[in-house]
Amino acid sequence: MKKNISINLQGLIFHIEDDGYEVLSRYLQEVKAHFASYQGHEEIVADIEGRIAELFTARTSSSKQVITLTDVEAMMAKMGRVSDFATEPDEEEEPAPTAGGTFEPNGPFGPKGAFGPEGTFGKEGPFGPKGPFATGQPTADGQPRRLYRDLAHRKVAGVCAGLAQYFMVNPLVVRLAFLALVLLPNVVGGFDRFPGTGLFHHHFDLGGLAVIAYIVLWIVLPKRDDAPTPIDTLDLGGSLAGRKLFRDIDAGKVGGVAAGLAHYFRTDIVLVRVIFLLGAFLTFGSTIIIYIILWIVVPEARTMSEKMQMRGDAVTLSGIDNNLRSNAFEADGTTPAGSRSVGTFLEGAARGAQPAVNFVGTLIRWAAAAVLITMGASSLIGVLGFAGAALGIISSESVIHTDNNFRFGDESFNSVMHNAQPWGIVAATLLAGIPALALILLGVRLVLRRSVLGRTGGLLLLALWVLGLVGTAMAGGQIFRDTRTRATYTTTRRLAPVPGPGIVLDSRNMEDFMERTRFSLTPADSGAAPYVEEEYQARGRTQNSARLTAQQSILYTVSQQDSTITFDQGITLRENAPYRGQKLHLTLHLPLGKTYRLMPLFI
Amino acid sequence: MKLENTQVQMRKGILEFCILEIIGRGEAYASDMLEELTAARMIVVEGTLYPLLTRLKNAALLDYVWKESTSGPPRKYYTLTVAGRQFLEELRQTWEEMALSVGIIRQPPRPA
Repeated sequence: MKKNISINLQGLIFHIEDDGYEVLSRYLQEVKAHFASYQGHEEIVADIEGRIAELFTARTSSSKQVITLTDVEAMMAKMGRVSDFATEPDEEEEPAPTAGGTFEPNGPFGPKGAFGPEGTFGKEGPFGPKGPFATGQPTADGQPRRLYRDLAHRKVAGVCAGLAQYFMVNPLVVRLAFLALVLLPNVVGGFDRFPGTGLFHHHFDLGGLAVIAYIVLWIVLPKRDDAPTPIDTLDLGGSLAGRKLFRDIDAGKVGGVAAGLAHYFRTDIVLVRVIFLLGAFLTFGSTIIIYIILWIVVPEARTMSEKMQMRGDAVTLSGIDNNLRSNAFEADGTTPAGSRSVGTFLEGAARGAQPAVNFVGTLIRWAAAAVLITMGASSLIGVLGFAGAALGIISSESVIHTDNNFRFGDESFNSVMHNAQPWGIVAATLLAGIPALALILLGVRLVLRRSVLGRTGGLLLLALWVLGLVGTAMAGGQIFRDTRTRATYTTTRRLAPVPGPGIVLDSRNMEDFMERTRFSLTPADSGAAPYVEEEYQARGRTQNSARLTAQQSILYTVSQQDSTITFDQGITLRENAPYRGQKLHLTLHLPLGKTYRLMPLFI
Repeated sequence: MKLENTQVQMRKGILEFCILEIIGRGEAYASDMLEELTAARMIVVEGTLYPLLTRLKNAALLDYVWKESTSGPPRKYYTLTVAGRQFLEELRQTWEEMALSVGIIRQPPRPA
């Protein structure tokens, strides 16, 4: 008596004897593994299964209902083993030309030469189609290769994920590199405490640069929602000849990281472990952190083909067979327990920590959003307040109180603003306000994780900003023309003669003035009355208009009471007069032979 | 330099040509083709055929319809598409030329 197993091949049920089943299922596994890299491999395998079903049907009848090992072997002889399929024309494999000279295996066009499949510019080399610097060839999803933000697999804004897609590496590599750039200078900065090494001394804030680069890329890169699944192994562009980094939990002591690395770099596992342990002592545990990170990010080799990729074995009949035999105990899912109990425990803990890791990502996103919104909002309020005051919509008092940057007095602020046309102010507001608004939108978008502004909205903002730029430039040009030349208007103010022996020079305290008056003193004849030479200066489009402005727009008083002469502290402008860089220079002609007393305010 | 590699190279295109020839005579399903190809010693094992058929189908040279079968699972009956027919025509020409070329070269040069 024999035990039967019933199987289903392409919708047909077969009863198959136990031993035959073993062989058949191993055969189908081989076939699947062999065709896994082919286009349309599901269909090929389905076709083969269909053919097997057909062959089996032909071998059953009402008197023989069960498929035996003999039937399976006959089928395999007919279908062929995986190793026989090698005669199948293989698109992936372009055997190198074998003529002499440069086409020799080690010549430039041979398999190992620069242009051969394994060379620098070959298929697997760094500049080849599969290498990290290849350009132009289609990516995993057949689209031309370009740099974008990968929103489908992002942690923050998809910049790292997009870079990983571009360079065809695991996004994790990019993220780790980025984090290392941000954190490392600060962490290793501590080594400066060991005097004399100077090894980790750094002058650049690499971390800051990396963050800025990230933000710049965030802004300039186009986004993409439908990016292909990122590479999830640490196979760096095939440069390590098809081996992929997995954790080898069979050989591992803790999490299989060291064993996996040993497979990957084709070194002895003991060497890797020694490096890890020595490193842990020498670098204060940093290799332990690296270990934990690798543990989290590197997948464990579960399936047969993953285990073979890990070891770099070719996925062939003999390879699979060897693996099946050497790992027979694995088929029932038992782990070689004992040595890995620590690992199992830690692994469970790591799985539990996954939500926390995600939470940290969210936290970073929200913090960035808060910073962006605060920055944007405060500058937007400043810009709008300034504009409102300049246009006279709100009183400049409130601006002075809301924003400390504009410590103008009431009067001078208005006169400065009289220079500008209203449209110029609007333009400047757009120029400064739109970036502030963009910061806010970026922050909001970060929180909502979706675009706030459509494409049209974005273009509209950009157009308005360009308009603001042009307008500001034109207004600036106008102001420049209006203040091109400088002219002086001179007049003399005669004062009454002072009878007494002394003269007091005082200054009138003013709340608000445009520009402090400059004085110079010159002696005059002892008997004469003091007089003041006043030089009014202003800028203007022409000499004449500048002189006219100097003459008409400046208010300044000098008063005399007995022996006290009081000067204004500074000049003010007539109401609604534009600011044209008005200045006043006074030359005091004072008679000799008098005693002068200067009041503190005058000095 | 392995003999096997060269043989694989030589077989490569010719096998595709033969498959197209068989289907070109009228719709065919895999077992028919297998019988013929095995009899002509073009293939040794049947597993070789399926990936080729899938590839030709994906290249839009072949098309197929499912047909119920009295014995066994439903079968795929393949036909040539218009592109497939053109492709076959070109291959026939190439084959003629190559056979001629090889014949000329293998012929010992006639004494002048």
